[in-house]
Amino acid sequence: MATAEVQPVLPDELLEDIFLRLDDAADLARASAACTSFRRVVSSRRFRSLHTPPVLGFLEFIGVAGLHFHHAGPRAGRGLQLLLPPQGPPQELARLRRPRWARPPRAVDLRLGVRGPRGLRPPCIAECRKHTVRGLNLKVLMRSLKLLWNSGGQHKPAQEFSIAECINAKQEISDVS
Amino acid sequence: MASPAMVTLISSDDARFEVTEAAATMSQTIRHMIEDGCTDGGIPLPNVPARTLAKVLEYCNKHAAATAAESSAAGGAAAGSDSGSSSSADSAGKDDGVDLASFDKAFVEVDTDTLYDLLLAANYLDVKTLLDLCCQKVADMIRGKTPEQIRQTFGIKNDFSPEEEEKIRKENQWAFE
Repeated sequence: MATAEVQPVLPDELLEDIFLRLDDAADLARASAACTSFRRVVSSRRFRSLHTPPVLGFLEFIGVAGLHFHHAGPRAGRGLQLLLPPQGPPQELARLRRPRWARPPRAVDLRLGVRGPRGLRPPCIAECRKHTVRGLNLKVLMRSLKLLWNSGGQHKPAQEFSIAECINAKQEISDVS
Repeated sequence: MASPAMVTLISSDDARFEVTEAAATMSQTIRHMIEDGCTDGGIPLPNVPARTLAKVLEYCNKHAAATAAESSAAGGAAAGSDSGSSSSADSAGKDDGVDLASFDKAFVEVDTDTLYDLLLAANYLDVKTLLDLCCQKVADMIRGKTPEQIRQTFGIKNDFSPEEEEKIRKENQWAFE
């Protein structure tokens, strides 16, 4: 193991600049486990406000009875992609009813969440403090997304999910993909 | 055409470097010093040792020459920006782009100590493109590595207590799978 003298001291601003270039949250999480100064930078409030989570993809409401998940791209959200079952959303998600109001949101923006008071969280359907966004019942959606996550064959604690901001994103779907 | 304006830079260990003003002013720090008229008897750079300064100047010379060649190829009469090596380079601007990219790539293929020195120097001298290049290189070296591999690569001491490390690993379990 390297001695303390060898340990390079980079100012936090440079570490920030470097870590901002890591767009995969898993890389960021592993880097933050290397030493305390890395961890301090990555888990700082300032850094988390700078590091905009990449868009994983969008949930689109189809007809009256279903959701379709659009991946944002191969680079974005590798975490979630791994977890999606190849045959598509599970029954529970397909059965998720579109709410009954007249103009539902077309898509939910799924951002890779990097948050938490002390450190990083796994890729998650990013957070939203409200329980409903434009009328969508997020509790129902969350439950279904947890099922989606868990059905990917990986054992992830379901509480690690929370929900993204909700946007009218028809055109963003085409922008990103 | 007059010979290019030269400035003298003095490293922390008192080595003197004579460079074109075009190359030197790629550093915003030096540019400001020149603008403030602090150039008599050379510009002291107390934070940069000769070994690193030579490397930084290699980068600046290359890029300043490429910029000069580009502007003379584009407009012809860009009299202000000049460089000794630009005479042969008025043929092709886009070849320069390729050339410069491979120069950059090779330029940061150095040991981590040198890379750190370059990072710190680029930061202090405020050479934006060089700082970008070095930060990107470090980020690329972090990508896909485990915390232990990151420590080995950069000679970082693991300064977490075993309990802390265990906790972090648990918290970020998803990133270690």
